[in-house]
Amino acid sequence: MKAKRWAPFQLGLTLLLFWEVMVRVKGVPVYILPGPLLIALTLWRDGPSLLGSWLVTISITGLAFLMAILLGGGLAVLFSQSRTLARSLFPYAVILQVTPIVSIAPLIILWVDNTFLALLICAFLVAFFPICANTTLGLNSAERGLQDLFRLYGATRWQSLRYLRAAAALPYFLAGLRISGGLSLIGAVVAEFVAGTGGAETGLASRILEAGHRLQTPRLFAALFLLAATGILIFVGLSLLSRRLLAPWHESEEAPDD
Amino acid sequence: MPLLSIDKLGKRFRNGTEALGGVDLAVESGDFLSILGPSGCGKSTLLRLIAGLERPSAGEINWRERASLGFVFQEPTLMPWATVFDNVRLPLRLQGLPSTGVAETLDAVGLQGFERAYPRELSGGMKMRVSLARALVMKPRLLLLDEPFAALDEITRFKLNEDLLRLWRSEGFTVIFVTHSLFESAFLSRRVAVMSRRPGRITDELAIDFPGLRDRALRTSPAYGETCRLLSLRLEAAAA
Repeated sequence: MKAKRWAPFQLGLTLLLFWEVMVRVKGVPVYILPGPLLIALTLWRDGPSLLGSWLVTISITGLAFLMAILLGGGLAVLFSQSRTLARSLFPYAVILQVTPIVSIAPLIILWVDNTFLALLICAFLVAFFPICANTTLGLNSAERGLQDLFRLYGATRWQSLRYLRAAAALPYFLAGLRISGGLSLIGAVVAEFVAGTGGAETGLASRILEAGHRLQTPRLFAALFLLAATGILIFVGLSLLSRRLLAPWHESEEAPDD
Repeated sequence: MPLLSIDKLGKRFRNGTEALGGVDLAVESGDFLSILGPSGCGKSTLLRLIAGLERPSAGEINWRERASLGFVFQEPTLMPWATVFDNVRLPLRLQGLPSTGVAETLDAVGLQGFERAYPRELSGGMKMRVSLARALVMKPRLLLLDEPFAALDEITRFKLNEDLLRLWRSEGFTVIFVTHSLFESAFLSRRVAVMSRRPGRITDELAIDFPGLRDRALRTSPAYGETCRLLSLRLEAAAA
C-alpha cells in the first residue's frame, strides 16, 4: 500500500535526476533545455516577480470557475424545469462549446475594453459547458421509482428539486467541477496568449511569452511549473471535495476491498 | 360499501399496448387482497392506477373516502444519499410533518440500530424493510405492494411475509398485494384475485381461510398445500 502511494514520486525523482544528468553530460545549452536544478533556482529567484502574474492568472481562473458554477449550475436547474427551454437553449450552449476559444478570443478582446474582463469571459466560456451539461444530466437522472414516490406524497416542484434531483445530480455536478476547474485555468492561459498583452497587470501566460522571446528558458520553465502546480492543486482540491461529499453513499468512492 | 370499488377499469398506453381490459374489483376495509397473475398481465399497472400514478383510459375507481396510501415498489427505491432514518422520514418531510413516529416504525419492521446506515450497507431484505417502513410511517389506511419480495431469497421472503402479516394484524390497514407467486399469495391473503394475460382482467376470485394463526407451521400443513394446488389450477385456467 505504502509502496504504491510513493511510486509516482519515485518515478518523478528518477526522471528529474536523469534529466539533470543528461543536460550536464550532453552539455545542452541553457536556452534550449535547462536542468531541473537551475529551474528550481530560477523559481526561487524570480518567484517574487512571477507572483503578481500568478495572482492575476489565479484570479481569472477562480472567478471564471465561480461564474461557470453559478451560471452553468443555474442554467442546468432551469433546463431541468422546462424541457422547451432546454431544447431551445441547449444547441447554442453546444455551439459555444465546440467553437475553439482561440478563435472567439480575438473578438471578445476587441469588444471588451478591460483586458481582465475579456480574459475572464474567455475562461468562463471554456469552463461553463461541462458543469452545465453534467448537472443537467444529473438533475434528470433521478430514479423513476423515486420520482413516482415523490409524486405519490404530493411533493412540490421545489421539494423534488431539493430533496431528489439535486442530490441525484451531485455526483454529476462534482464530475463537472473537476473538468471545469482545469478548463478554467486552460481558458485563462489560452485567452491571454491570444490577447498577447504585455504589462504588469497580466498573468503567467504573458510571462511565458516574454521569457520565450528573450530566450530566458529557465524563467519560462519556472512559470510553466507554477501553472502546472496550480492545475494540480485545483484537481486535488476538487477530488478531495468530491470524496468528502460522496464517500458515505456513492459507489465511485467506495473503498476497494484489497 | 367497500373501501374502493373498481369498475371496468381499462388502460391503454400511448404506444398502443392495452395493459388492462376492464377490471372489476372491490376491496373491503381491512382486507388482505392479493392480485395474482403471470408476468406482464398488467397487475403493476392496476396498482399504479389505484395509487393515482397513472390515469385510466376507461372505467373508474370509486373511493368511499380518500384513503391515505403507502406504496412499496418492486425495487427498494431508496435514496442512496440518505440514511435509513432520512429515507423513512421522507413522506413526513414532504408533507411538512414532524418526524415523530419514525423510530417507532423502524422498530416495528425490525430496523432498530440501523437508523444511521446508508442503503448500500444493507442487504436486499433490509432494504425492503426500509421501503416498508417508509410506506408505513404515515400510518396509511391502504398499503399497496408491488411484488415487493420477488427479488429476495426464500428464507428472507418467508420472514418478511410473516412480519408483514404481523403488522397487518396489529395496525389494521388494508392491503393490496401484487405478486406472481401463488405460494406467497396463498400464505398471505384472505382473498386472491386471479388475473388473465394481457389485456388483464380479474377472471377469478378465491377466499382463503386457514384456521389458526398463519405462521411457519402453516407452510408445511396439508391445508396450505391444498390451497396452493387449487390456486395453481385457477392460475393456469386464467393464463390459458
